Amino acid sequence: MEENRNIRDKIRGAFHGYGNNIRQRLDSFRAMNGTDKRRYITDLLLNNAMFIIITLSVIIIAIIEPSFLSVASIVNIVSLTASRLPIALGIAGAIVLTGTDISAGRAVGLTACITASLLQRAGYAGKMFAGIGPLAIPLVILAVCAVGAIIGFVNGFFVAKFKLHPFIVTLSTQLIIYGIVLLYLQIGGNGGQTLSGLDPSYLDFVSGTLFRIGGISVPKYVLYAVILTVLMWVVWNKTVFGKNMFAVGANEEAARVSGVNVFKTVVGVFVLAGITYGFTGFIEGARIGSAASYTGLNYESDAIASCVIGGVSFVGGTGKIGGIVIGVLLLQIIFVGLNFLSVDQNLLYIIKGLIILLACAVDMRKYLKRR
Amino acid sequence: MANLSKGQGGDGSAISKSGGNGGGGGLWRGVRMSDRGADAIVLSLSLLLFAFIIAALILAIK
Repeated sequence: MEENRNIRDKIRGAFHGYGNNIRQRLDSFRAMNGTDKRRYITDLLLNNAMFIIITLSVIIIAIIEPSFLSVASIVNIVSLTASRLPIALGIAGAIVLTGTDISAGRAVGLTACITASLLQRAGYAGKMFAGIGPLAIPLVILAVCAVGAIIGFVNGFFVAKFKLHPFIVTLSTQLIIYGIVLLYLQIGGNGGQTLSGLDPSYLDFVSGTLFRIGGISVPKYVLYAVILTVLMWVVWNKTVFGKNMFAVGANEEAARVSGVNVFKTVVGVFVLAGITYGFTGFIEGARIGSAASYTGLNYESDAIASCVIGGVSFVGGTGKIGGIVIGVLLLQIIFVGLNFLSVDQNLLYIIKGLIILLACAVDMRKYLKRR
Repeated sequence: MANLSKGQGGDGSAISKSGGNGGGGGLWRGVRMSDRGADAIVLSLSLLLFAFIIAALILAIK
């Protein structure tokens, strides 16, 4: 009872604080002269250009096709967001360090193929490892996260030790991983074929029903994405490693002089990112129901776009977990909406590219203003 | 509009990675651009993106 009252007071206090903040902003806006008011409105509109465009587009899509706002469609958007969130959370760390990671999609592809090969059902005709039955799920999760961590370690090592730009390092590892995926798919007479016939326990563990809303099933991986998001929030905000990551991202030399172990931090960020790719691969195998050499292709571009939309700046040292979640959600809303109306797939690539370019331009503009 | 130059000036801090402004660095180090230039780029890209989305929707409806 007492606890409930405390929570109620806290919520009321938060709303009161929020209201006061808006009132203060309104008062300061009223006190401005004409030129300042125009500048303020221009800043507000341009800084939030992406949100305004996506909101307007969603409203237009909902008017053309009202079923876009149905429960089934919303659950679909939430599920897709949950499936893309882990990889975005991983890449965000690399972006905070003023870098990037373009090997993420291929790492997801490799770990999805490994997961699928280890969790094909017993007796399936096209089973890659015919001699062994489906392994225990926790063991497979550990295995693919370890594979992801090794990929992350290689990326982080070359970035931190040789001061190479993450773009060139991850471009190299992307090609290496793709080669490994193609070779892996040749094992056991598979002949490069798609890995399917997955064990029902694996499919249920990932895509089984968590709960139902209006008769529509919400898959279990939504819960896993929430847990991972909370874990990443703790790592980013409540650990020394997280503080060091932001310090190195903001100014590497200053962090080094302050006693931060830059090598360990950079490698740690990439290893953490690799683990999230491994987990994404584990989810993707069951979500799609199969794994092939093209699994995970271009996932990194969506993840990078989501991060930049969500306020993770390429300037470095800036970013919030909440922003990344919103970024992934917004990107999924716009693409599910466009797919809903069967928009030409070729145009979607152009729109996706423009979204990344605009998000970077808004980010750059904010940085130039700060100076 | 965008005048790109090598990083220079700023507070001259010895520990500044960008060689200027005492922080940041990364992709935008050394970027020089007027406020209006940056505004114009963001506005043009916003309009272009919105135009593409609307064009895609119109083509899809037809």
